[in-house]
Amino acid sequence: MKNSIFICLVFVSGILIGMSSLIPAESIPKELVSSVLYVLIFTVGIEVGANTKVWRVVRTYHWKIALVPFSVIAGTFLGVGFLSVFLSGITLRHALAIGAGFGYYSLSSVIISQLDGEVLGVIALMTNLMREILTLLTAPWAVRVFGKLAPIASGGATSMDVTLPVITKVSGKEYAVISVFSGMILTLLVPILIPILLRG
Amino acid sequence: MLFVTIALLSGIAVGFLLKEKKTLPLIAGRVSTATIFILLFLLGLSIGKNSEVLNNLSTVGVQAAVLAAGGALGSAVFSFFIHKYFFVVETGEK
Repeated sequence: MKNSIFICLVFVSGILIGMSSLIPAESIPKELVSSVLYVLIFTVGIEVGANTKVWRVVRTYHWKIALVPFSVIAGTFLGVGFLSVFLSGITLRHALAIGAGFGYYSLSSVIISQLDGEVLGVIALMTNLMREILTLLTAPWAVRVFGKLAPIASGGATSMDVTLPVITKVSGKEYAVISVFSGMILTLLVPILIPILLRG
Repeated sequence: MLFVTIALLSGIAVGFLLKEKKTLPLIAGRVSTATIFILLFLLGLSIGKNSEVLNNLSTVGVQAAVLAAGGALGSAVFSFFIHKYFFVVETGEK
């Protein structure tokens, strides 16, 4: 959470410096942004690959555990797809790509602004940041209404780190491994699904 | 797209092969945090120069709130059925 606030501060200071035109826009080469993005995706891969605990979970819970990230993907796409009908200027494809951030606002916004542009990038950033905050705030209520997997599902990719403490508290310790597993699968899918949805 | 997949898969392979090295995930975590800072700063910078975004910030905020609620709620509803019909957690509940 401390990190999230710091990330927002960095982002906002970027906006302010951009507005002040201290740094000309042309001075940021697009290749630099994509190279840094590949480094980020590479390190995300390392963190997932080195996490042996999660691979063990798959053996314990069998294939059923895969249903958790699957329910997040299906539920997210249905939810944002349906609501995109009511939003002018947001096509179904855009809505699905934004939804495919699964709460991972930093990665999804950067990929989307690279592939489509800053406008959609900002919507992706705000949507996925709000999803994270919404999960943190509604977790106790979500468990009562939709059951113990609900905060894991609404947390999406963040259920492996940022929202994990809250999830463990409201759903119970036995759900922590499922939460990490689901978050990890969704984290891996963010950089794969967004380009497919925007370009495919 | 191809580069994204290559970067992701090679990252997983490196992480998996070097999983005994306890410091590797720590270093990877630090590097990813640093790159996130750089990327979001650069994104902020280009947004600061983009009047289309700045002038429509309230519209963008509403759209984002709607999509966030849709994604979170849709997922929670789906997980309700998955939990009800497929999940048996250690406590013995079905």
